[in-house]
Amino acid sequence: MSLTRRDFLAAIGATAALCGVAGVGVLTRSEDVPVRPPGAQDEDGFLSACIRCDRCRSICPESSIGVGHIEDGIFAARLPAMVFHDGRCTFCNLCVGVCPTEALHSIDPGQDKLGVAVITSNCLTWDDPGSCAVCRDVCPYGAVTIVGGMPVVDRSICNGCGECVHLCPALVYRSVSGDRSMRGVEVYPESVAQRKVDDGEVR
Amino acid sequence: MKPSAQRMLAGAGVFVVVSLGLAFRTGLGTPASFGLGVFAAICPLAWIQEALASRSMTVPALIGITLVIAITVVLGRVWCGWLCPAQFVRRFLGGRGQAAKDQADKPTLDISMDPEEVQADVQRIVAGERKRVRRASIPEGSDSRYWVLLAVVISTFIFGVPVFCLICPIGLSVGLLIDLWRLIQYNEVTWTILVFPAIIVLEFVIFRRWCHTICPIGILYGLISRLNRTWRPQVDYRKCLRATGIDCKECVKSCPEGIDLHHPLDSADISVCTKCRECVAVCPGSAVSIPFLAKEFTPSSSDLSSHQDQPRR
Ligand code: SF4
Ligand code: SF4
Ligand code: SF4
Ligand code: SF4
Repeated sequence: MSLTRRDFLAAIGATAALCGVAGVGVLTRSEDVPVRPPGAQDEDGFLSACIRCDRCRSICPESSIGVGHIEDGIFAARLPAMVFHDGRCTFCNLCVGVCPTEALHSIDPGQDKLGVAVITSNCLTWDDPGSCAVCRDVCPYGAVTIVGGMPVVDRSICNGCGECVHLCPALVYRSVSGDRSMRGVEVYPESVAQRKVDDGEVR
Repeated sequence: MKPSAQRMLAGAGVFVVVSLGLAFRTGLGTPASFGLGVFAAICPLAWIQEALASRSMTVPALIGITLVIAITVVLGRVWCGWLCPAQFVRRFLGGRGQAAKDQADKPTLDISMDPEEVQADVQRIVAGERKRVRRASIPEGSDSRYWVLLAVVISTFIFGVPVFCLICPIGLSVGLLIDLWRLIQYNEVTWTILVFPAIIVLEFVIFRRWCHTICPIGILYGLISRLNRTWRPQVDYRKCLRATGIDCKECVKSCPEGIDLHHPLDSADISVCTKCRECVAVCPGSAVSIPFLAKEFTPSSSDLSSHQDQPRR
């Protein structure tokens, strides 16, 4: 087989185009990574392994897995991301079982974390301390206490299961864009949560 | 039912299965990975990319690729002919004239013969003498899809992300269905719903012959299909009009892949056959069939590599 000029140009062109796409992907990577399904907390590892097959989202009995959108970056689109507004994670491991690339791993809810919960500015107790304690009542792990009428999450206990987000009554009916609005409590990956706490955005 | 209608039905089935996975918790998946539990076929390109990007090989993925290879060895490149959503994109963009346009775009095989030549040619074929008749006017250079495949390998390895998945028209069309579903079910509004179709249209408008010049998945299936010996189309020369001296080329013209069943060594290799059945449907003498095991074997260049009488390209 002899290589022609045309072959050479095709090879260079295709490589340049695909590297360009990936380059834009790198540039549009958002710092605000969403919470990933169990065992996918190393974002780089997850990006390399997930083939966006949709099986984990489909099988989740709690409907707590959603899909990423292009506005969050080229890499984010179609990647599974936790949407706790629809349900919590029960660590049932069904998603782990169907993942064809081991992008997901079973985790120990007593040790490992999907992320951690933080109280946002939409929490009802900002305006009216003592008016709500749903998150404390529903947390399966007892990670939330009420201090001075306001919820406080013990981030060493919280594993990010999302039950508090799922049931938080704040801003449930006020949203235009279904899932994307922030509730009174939200779960973020640990590093994102830490940054938001440091910035004073959440507590 | 025309073969094209049958294939559309099969292709629609893919979207039905994905929709089932949206309506119920089937976990069956999408073309990227499809099956039950760990017994799921994996897109061969996704498998390569995932292994390169994560620099690892996992057991479920190995099971998946084994399944895909096994299916492709038996069925050939059926994914491309029957299931791939590209058929809908091409139809949507091309409108009614798509078949004629495909015809005009295809590299032609201008082997014309006079009646005696045709009959002598048939006698040679029936006697089992397959040799190169004339070089077809296939464009110079090798199949550009291999270069795209190489580019996918390089970019995926460098960036550590399955790069082709980001622009894969198959993945994007399934992703679009998922996003439309979630728009209705959860009122989830996203630009993705506009961006994905735009990317797909752009790809097929810029590269009108996307499947034949770009798609690395198609050529991967073609590579695996070199092991395929079953369900190869064959010509029965007791019925073929060429045996009577008529220079009939209906099956050749109908083949979207550019295979000439009479002169398979001069045309695109039989391993790229998608079993689309166009040649079967079009033959005026009903001479073409696709049996499980062909009696009159339509050879591929790899079958005959032992006695090559002409230099290979
Ligand atoms: S572990 Fe179970 S509940 Fe949690 S995300 Fe996976 S499938 Fe859903
Ligand atoms: S099952 Fe695995 S590969 Fe498929 S979308 Fe989920 S995480 Fe990605
Ligand atoms: S996410 Fe909420 S409910 Fe789950 S452990 Fe943390 S605080 Fe508790
Ligand atoms: S040889 Fe026949 S079945 Fe195969 S791709 Fe061509 S037209 Fe379709």
